[in-house]
Amino acid sequence: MRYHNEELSNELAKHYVIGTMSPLARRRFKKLMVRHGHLQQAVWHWEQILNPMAEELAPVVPDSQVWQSITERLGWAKSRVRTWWAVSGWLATATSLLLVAYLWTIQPVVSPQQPQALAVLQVEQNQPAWVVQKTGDRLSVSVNALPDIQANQDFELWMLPANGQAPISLGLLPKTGNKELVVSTQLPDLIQSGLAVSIEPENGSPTGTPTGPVILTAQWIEVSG
Amino acid sequence: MSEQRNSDQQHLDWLNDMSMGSRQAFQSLYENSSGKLLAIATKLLGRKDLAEEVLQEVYIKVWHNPEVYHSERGSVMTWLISILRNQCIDQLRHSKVKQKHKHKMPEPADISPQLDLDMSASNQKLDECMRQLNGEQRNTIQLAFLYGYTHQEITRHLTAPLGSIKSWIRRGLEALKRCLKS
Repeated sequence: MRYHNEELSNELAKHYVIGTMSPLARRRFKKLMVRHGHLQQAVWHWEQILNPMAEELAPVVPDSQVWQSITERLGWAKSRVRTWWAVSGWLATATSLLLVAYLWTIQPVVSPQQPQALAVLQVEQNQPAWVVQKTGDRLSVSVNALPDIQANQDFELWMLPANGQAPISLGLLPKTGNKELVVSTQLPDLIQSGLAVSIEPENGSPTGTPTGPVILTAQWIEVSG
Repeated sequence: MSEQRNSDQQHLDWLNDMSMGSRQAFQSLYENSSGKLLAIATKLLGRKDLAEEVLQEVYIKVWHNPEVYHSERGSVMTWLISILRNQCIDQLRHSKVKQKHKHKMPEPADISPQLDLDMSASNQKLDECMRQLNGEQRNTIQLAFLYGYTHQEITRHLTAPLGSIKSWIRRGLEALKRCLKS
């Protein structure tokens, strides 16, 4: 395999780290890194050469709302008073609900019961990857636009407890069509928790906690009591 | 240098505490590192609001996966910068974001070893090595690494052939690597 050539690995890693690879080459290289550990190490090497240059930029203090948003998304803080950010969030939620309503109309309704909550799992803005409906102890998941993944990998859905404890697996997400996940009734605060999706080896995390990159986080939208 | 080591160790301690669920350690890491990360993201994306969105994503990832860090990645700060830069570059190369990426191109004359950098105090070796590069090598590396420009964007900006741009970056990076090793 020519990717074992040290000179080629070095060239590819250099261009990946400095950021001059084309989007397609960048996506391919990320996949290659998963399979070839020496490519990953070459990248780490160049990151250690170049990143200190970025570290020397004069700091820019984030708005206090950034920390507030982080703690809200982790479920540690309640929503703020209405600010532009809050209005933006509300608009995003409204957009998500419209998307859900649309997707709902084009797929069969699995349960006669009314869903209690919905979540739109999106990697990129306005492009849902999956839509999740919670009805009782069941999560009905449908795929909309599957993110890139290796054939020998799976997407795993995690509940992020509001008390900051370790993520709890809710199961593997479907790569096509719809899937039902049954959640434990021992998870009463599921709707108050955040959600996350990680990329894991085939059949899910071997450790019970996320081992691969977290590609997205999301919040539930409650639709009934 | 020992100040730098202390800072690295402090970051590592916070990360270890975060893996045990310490929110206080997470907040300390945020307060200590977010200014630097936001500076990098703002430079790359050209807009503070977009940079702050990426900043949120980065810290949420770090909170959920502190154990992903290991010493082969360099210092904790190097690791954080890598997560942030990868997210920014991915966004920049995404066509929708690219349309928003309209920050003012720096004029060639503005680019110097001191462009936006104040390396004299904390990283003299890197400063020295950057100064040893020729002007074209230094400029193109900074435009690509700090501003996130593609080869084509640098070609248009410096009105130089694509082959020359690629060569300046490639040779400049190798020279930088050799100098930092020496």
